[in-house]
Amino acid sequence: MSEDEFFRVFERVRREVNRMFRELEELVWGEERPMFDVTRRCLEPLAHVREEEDRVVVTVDLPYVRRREDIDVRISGRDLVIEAKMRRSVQYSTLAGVYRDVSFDTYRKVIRLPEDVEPSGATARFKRGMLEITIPKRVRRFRVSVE
Amino acid sequence: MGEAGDIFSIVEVKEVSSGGTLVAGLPDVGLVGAISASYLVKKLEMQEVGYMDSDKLPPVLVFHDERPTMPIRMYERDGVVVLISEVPIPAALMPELAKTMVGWAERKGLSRLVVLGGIPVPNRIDIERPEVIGVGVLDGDRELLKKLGIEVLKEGFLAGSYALIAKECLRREVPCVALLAQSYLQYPDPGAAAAVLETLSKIIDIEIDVRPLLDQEEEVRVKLRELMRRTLPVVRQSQKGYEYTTPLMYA
Repeated sequence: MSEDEFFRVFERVRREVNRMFRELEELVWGEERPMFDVTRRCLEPLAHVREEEDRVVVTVDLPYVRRREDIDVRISGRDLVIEAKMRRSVQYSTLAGVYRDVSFDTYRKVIRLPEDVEPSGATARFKRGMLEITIPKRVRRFRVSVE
Repeated sequence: MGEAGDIFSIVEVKEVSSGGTLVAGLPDVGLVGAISASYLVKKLEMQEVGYMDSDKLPPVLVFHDERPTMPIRMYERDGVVVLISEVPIPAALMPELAKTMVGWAERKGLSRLVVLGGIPVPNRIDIERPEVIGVGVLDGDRELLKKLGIEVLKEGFLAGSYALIAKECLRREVPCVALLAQSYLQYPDPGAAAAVLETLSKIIDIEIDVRPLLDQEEEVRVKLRELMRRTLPVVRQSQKGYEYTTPLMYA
């Protein structure tokens, strides 16, 4: 195995382990899981995945995001990664606990897509703070003859 | 208070006057009811008059301006009583909450219940000004809605918290209308809440300036993310899919 190949495999394993941790966290915490990451100073936005016959439609609520240029959408395998910069930071100074005195200025959300997709066919629109991403499913079609 | 054996009880810390209107906004679709009712309380500088409680509610106490408050509270001003909840009501408790609330309103001699909420529409992203549809329980309620130029639901199902409140009002013949704005299902929707409040102002005959709510829309959406996430399981349990179902044709 060459050095390049080793690092590629290592990166794949790292991504897979991260994904498993995220899924485990979701399972254990459910609605109690915090919707922020203090170390990255980012908030987790609300998002919804809708599966249609030939495509997956993901919507993400991004208040305080003004411009399309401030949104970064990446698809890596079945992971959809959304990052966005807010036009102003948000603080929760009146709340107790870890929120206190931390200001958040970005959103970050990683969504595990329910099916394999064709990233090259993905489209996105951004309207009044709502991001909508449409990604075609990777489908192999067979015609069944009816006798 | 509630009736003996009730899961919920209502405590009046100040005497609620009879003859007024009870406006209820509970966390549900797009948090429309909760946002609009809480905005109404703030905007009209209403006075806290009581609360509703149950051992079955989540074990929480809410603090506002250093002061502990009950999660389900009632406020009053000028004959309008507003009931708000800061916790989603588990679907299994909703019938009991509806019974206690409507029973209390009937005993207090309140003239009508107005339930505020949202009706989820898949193309909400393309809607600039959400429309509001009214549901009238008794003949007089539907007449009132029509007189005020509010579109009345003709056919279809209602599902969830406001359906149970309307059902209890129908059973007891208590006047009740539900005002439902086109809204997002899974995102806090202050735009829909503003639309509901504009319609409500015609019913209670009090002007409500919704401009500050619309100006703070983004702040509301950011800050209510967690409450929305907690509300979604309740919304899922309340079989909202019925609202896309056609009822029997010959009934």
